[in-house]
Amino acid sequence: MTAIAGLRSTYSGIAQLRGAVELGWYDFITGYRRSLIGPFWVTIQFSAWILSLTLILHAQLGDSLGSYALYVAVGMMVWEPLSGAMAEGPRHFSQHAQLIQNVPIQLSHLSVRKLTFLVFRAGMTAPVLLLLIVIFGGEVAINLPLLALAAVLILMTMYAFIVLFGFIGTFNHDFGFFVPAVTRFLFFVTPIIWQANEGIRKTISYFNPFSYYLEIVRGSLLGLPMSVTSWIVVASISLTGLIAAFIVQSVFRRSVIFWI
Amino acid sequence: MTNSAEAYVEPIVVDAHASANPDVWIELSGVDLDLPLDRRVFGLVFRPKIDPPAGSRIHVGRGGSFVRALSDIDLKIESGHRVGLVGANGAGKSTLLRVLAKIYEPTRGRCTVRGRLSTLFSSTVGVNPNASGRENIFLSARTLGMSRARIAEIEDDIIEFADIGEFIDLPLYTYSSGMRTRLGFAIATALEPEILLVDEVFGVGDQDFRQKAEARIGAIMRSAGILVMASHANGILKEFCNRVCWIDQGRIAFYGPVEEGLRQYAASLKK
Repeated sequence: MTAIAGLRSTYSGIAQLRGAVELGWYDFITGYRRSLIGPFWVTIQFSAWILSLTLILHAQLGDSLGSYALYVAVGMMVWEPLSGAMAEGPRHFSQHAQLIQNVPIQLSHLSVRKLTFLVFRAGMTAPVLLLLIVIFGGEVAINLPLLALAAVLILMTMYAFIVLFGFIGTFNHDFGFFVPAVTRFLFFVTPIIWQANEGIRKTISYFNPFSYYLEIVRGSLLGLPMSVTSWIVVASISLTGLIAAFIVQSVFRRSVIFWI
Repeated sequence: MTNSAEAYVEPIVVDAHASANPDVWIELSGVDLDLPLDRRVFGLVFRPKIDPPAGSRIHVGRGGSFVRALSDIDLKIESGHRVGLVGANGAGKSTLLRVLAKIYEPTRGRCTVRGRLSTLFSSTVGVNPNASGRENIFLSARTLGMSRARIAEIEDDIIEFADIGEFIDLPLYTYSSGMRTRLGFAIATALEPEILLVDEVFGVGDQDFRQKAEARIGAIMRSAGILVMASHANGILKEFCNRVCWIDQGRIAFYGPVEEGLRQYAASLKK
């Protein structure tokens, strides 16, 4: 019965997908209404971040300015939405407490809305990457089908984070404070600004699942080496996450109203 | 005193405007609702320190502590029934409405609802302070599951009813609280439900707007197949309802004619 109710809830959320996407877009765009350049602040912040990392670290890591900028930019473009899903997930049911308590709304609808918000925010960093490709991308070999597949897997993972962290964060409000501390740590143990070529870095990278996400995107977009193992790891995590999200949603969807 | 809906057989005079539709009905059978006071997951209970007094509705058991918010509710509401929920604060009126709305799932028993249902529990659901009034109409209506075409149809009506003039294209943060309420109320009531659930929303805006709001709710109530509303205002209950359900400590204490229900409820308050 729980699984059927969960399926019904998921179907209902999918049936209102367009509405959830539109609401996610408004959540994103209205957040910048009182600013002069609006969501382009995301682009500027991302540019400043990439510029500073590149200027400081490229020489230390023995890379050329252009190839390191591209390496970091792609890494950040993958990391930002994934960490965003982890950081925003624990709060997103509480943010909509009034809705949950007053309207028979599907929780999957709220999760898709949050996912859309994060996708639009990530989209604002794309101009930076495009610019870097135009300037430094002489050797870039984009594999569009693989890139699209990687994007789908990342979206699946983000959705799983939003749902799972949403339930955990609503159940235990400390979790919302715990996650940013962990994501900060994860940022430095993930090969975003460094390369996993030897020694301890290679070991850390091997045991860090996020490394594989970075590898498949860098491989598809920059033509860097990537292994089939990385695709299998990412696909397994994404699928397992999605199944776990579905189970948690089925079992606990009616408890959220008591937790918020 | 009547203990359940089944015991009441006296015919009800249905409002002349009501359209009786046999496909629209609500049935609750043996419904209990426990509101957990602690958090449980996979058998683990995260329990706050609770020491309930004797006779309290708070229960502490092996499965955790909870408030028995609704107990053994049997109720059949058919098309044409306009039910006023009365009872003291905390009796379970709002909880029952949320069970009917499928916001709360019964702990035990069954709640079956047939018909297009709308809730009017808050007049400011889903509003975004940074969006304009016009955008908020879209956002709130979309949140309530309305299609784009339907929103386009009702937009002008909402704007006209809210009567906030040129502010409709300004962000909501520039509105006074009264203007926000007017817009929120106009959006929330732009519905054509078969079943309407209302929870104490008559105290909105200034005197003029309150009259307007009451007239609008009255129109919705008359066109809805079933109305269930919680209220402490006897005048409103007498005007809009054709039966009363008195909830006492989570149980149905009376279900029947409005005058008799209100009389019994008033008598219980004097004790």
